[in-house]
Amino acid sequence: MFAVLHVPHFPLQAVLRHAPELWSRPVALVDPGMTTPRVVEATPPAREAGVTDGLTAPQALARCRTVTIRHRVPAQEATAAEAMLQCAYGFSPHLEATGLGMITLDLRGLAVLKTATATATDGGANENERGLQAWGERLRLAVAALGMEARVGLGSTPNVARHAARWGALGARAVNGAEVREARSPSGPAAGPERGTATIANDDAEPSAMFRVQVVTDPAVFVAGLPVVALEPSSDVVVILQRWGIRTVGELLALGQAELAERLGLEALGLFAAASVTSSRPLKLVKPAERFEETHEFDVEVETAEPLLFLLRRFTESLVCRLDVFGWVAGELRLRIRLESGRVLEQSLRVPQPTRRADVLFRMLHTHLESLRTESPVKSVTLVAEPTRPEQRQFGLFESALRDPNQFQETLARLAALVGADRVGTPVREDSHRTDAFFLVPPDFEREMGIVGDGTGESGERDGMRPVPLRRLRPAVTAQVDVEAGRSAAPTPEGRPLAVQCAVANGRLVVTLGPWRSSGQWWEAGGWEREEWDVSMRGGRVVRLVRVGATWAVEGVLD
Amino acid sequence: MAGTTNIVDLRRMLAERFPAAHAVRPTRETAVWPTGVPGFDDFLRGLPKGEITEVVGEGAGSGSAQLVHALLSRTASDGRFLALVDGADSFDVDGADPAALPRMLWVRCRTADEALKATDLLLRDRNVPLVVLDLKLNPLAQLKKVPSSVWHRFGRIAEHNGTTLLVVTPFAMVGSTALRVEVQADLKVDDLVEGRSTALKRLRIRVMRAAEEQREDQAAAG
Repeated sequence: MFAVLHVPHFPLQAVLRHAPELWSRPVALVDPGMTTPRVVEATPPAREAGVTDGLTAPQALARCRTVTIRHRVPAQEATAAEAMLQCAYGFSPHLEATGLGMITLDLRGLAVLKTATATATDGGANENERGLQAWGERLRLAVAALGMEARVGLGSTPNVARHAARWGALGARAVNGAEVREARSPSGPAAGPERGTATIANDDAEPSAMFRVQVVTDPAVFVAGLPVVALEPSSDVVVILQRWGIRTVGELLALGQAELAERLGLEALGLFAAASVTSSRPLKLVKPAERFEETHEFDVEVETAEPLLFLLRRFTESLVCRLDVFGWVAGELRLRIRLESGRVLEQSLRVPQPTRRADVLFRMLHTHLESLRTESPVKSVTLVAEPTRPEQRQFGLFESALRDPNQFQETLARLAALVGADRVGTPVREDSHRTDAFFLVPPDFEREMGIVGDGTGESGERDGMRPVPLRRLRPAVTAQVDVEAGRSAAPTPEGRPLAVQCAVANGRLVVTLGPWRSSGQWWEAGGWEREEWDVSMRGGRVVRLVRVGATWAVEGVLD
Repeated sequence: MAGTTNIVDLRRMLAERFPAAHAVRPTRETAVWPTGVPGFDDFLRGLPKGEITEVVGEGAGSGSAQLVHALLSRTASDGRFLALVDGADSFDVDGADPAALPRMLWVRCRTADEALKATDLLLRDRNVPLVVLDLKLNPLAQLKKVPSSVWHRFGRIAEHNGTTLLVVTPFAMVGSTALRVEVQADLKVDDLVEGRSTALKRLRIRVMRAAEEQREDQAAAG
């Protein structure tokens, strides 16, 4: 048994999958890759308004003033195809990317088929069919969660399954047969207009007419009822067959292969092969790439966050569905925003507790975008989810881990937006003797577990080795200092300070300890040299005076 | 006499009708967060959890910075972590316990307003069990503008989320605080040479306001 997953109007669906509301409006898809860009797809309202394939954009606008012209985007099609493949991989590991928007699945050996066969041998043919239909419906719904409406056809050979996916119940109805059952999605919209004759040239019915799963139980009857165009003959042959009054595959097959080949040539053999219900072929198996990416190009540049957030919400939901198929979770999100100016903004957001929850992932993006300011409108956006295995963790009895790491990450982002990204984090001292040399890193309380020190509050270095903490003044307050040899501007500023005058300290010094001289990196351009004095003023205020060159400053206060 | 009977009857009737409102509330077990300051922990056992504690350090050399550093060391040594919302970006990294630094989230604010907003975010986050809001060096003009309703809100959030909030201020300014203590140390320049243990020992704690449970603990301790 084989299944074919078919997404009709794939280029249009790929473009509109994140904007489904456009299906109810006239939209024409123009292929900019053509020498003269022409309409290649259109929504049902656009077709009703007279927009047909092959029109140029001005011609389409002339026929329908309200038509929205969208451009075919190969990147979006590739993303949609990848998403489809990943989704199908969750149903069968044997896949073939048969064509644009079409995937063939080999169901042989699958549990679903075994169950269905067992039911059939028990005499429940209808049960068997219902089981397959339910399976197909699950596949269809999984693709629908990615924003694409698909058809699923199940048949004994890839060819039959393909016909079932493309033509649905049309073949059986055309011969007034009841051998083919159709299952309409219970949640799907109402059926579209019936196809009146079998001479419809292609499957360009509106999406509402496609929402179905087709299980073919009698392939010969089914294929016989198909229109001849289902076999994809050349236009010349179609004309000839129409003149002969041949409309269905059954009528064509009745002519006989040898007789037809005599009149139509080699193409007749191809038509008979396409109508075969017995011949099978090996699938060209593919494995979907483990890449989870969604991208969208805006036709009109976006200047506010709302449309971006709307799209990112869809992206996260779609990515979560795709990750779910593989049983993975998102460990990191990479957001790439291309601006109209050509500049590309990239941001990686680590997910502290890897998850598949779309709301958590979306909140992270939302918080990031709240603090994002761009100099020009947004042209396109890409979101990549880096997959990882779900973390299995055993919590300790006395550990004080974060309750909700993802919430904490969001709070950190909000704090960064409030005070600046360089002013939030865990301090790490630089490998330098320079005073107050440190940098901030993102806190990692999840990893920095365990008790440090001896539990008394004293840990690491010996107490005597560690300086008594001050209150730092950042930046240091410049001071005017009287030194023994005179004012600081005097030629010999190295003398002992006697009095200080600045915003935080004013008056004569009672006790002075120092100087404590230090220097570093004198061998390179960033060399530094300083002299520190710990001084006490009248009233007991203790401050740290620093002299760098001829400049004095108060750097800290003892408190 | 008749009036008294009526009131008793009324109370009994109300108690029957609204039993939840008249139920005897169980005595809350006062969970505390040790500070690592001997004088503080011996006297008060620590900071009451899920409450606001205000530490008032008037003037220079009060020892409030020593208290913050001791609290950080003690918290890290217990395997826990805290957030320091530094109202005037005055935390001394060089003087901090190196092993304790990884257990701290430091928010370097420029103004008291920023610090209050950051504290609000951290209290609502529910991940950080202890938040230290240090407003000691913020200008008086900024502190005077802080509305008293902020502290009520913080108190409610802290109680609801079980977060402990320590506010270090230059003068008593937190209205709805469970515990307000004044620290005095009169630190001298010689203390810089003696080391931090000596500086910590000089810290004197005076309780300015305490909840009932703290008073009982205090009475038991002293």
